[in-house]
Amino acid sequence: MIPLDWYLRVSAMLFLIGLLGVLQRRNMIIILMSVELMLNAVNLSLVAFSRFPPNLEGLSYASDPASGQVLVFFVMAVAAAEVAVGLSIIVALFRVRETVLVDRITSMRD
Amino acid sequence: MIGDLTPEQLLFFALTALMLISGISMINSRHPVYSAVWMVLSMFAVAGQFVLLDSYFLGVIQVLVYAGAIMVLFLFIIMLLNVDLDGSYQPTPSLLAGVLLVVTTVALVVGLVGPISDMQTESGASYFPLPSQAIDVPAKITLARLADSLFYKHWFSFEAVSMLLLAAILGVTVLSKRRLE
Repeated sequence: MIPLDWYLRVSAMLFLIGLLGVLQRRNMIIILMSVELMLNAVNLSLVAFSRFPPNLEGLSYASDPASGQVLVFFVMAVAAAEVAVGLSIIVALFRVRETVLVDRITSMRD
Repeated sequence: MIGDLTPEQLLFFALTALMLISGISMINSRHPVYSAVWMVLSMFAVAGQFVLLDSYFLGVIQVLVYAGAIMVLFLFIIMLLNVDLDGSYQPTPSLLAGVLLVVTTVALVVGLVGPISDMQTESGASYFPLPSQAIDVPAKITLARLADSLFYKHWFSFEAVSMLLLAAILGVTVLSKRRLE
């Protein structure tokens, strides 16, 4: 059996990798992909939590054990919408600036 | 030591290794197309983890939506913009990134995450028991129960997300119009 905390550690490591990608890379498309990787890590931990329903002795089991998976479903839908809009912003920006590197888009800097 | 792992644990470690290695390769590739392909591999590994957690529906949806739609969209845009080798990218992590990596890895290994699953109720039973020990709660979440939960308990969020998708479609349409200036 695989205990819950193994999944949580793995999810945290994947989240960290995504975070490093956002911090390290200058290419906007790769930054967006790293954000997606972070969302995947969160999905993994949500599914892991939904697989191990808490043992609420004496309390009525009021919460719905499938809610974790429903939330994963919503996170995927929202991630898809976010990627579509993010990529269209990147394309619009590319039309004006001819670059996908964040360093070159400095018009709001001093 | 490898011998006394159950097949399930072996599969877990294999999928984890695949997931993390493709993630690291994704953020360290010079060419964006390579990054996208490593990302697809990572998505498949995550889908495998979902299946290992008995959520087959979410595993399939992960492949369909993430690997099959989102990554395809990424590849379209990379090809459209003709993004070339990121020649200026040196795969040496910055100091901040290095510090974050070391601190978090140490924290994970030392087990700051662990105490969550060691939480205990008053009588000493584990708060997050392994599914075989769960009392009185059917641990398997079937598609029927997932659909019940989605359409009965969470109907409002469902409608809100569909509004969000509509807004996203409209936003993309507006953003992609060529400005006539």
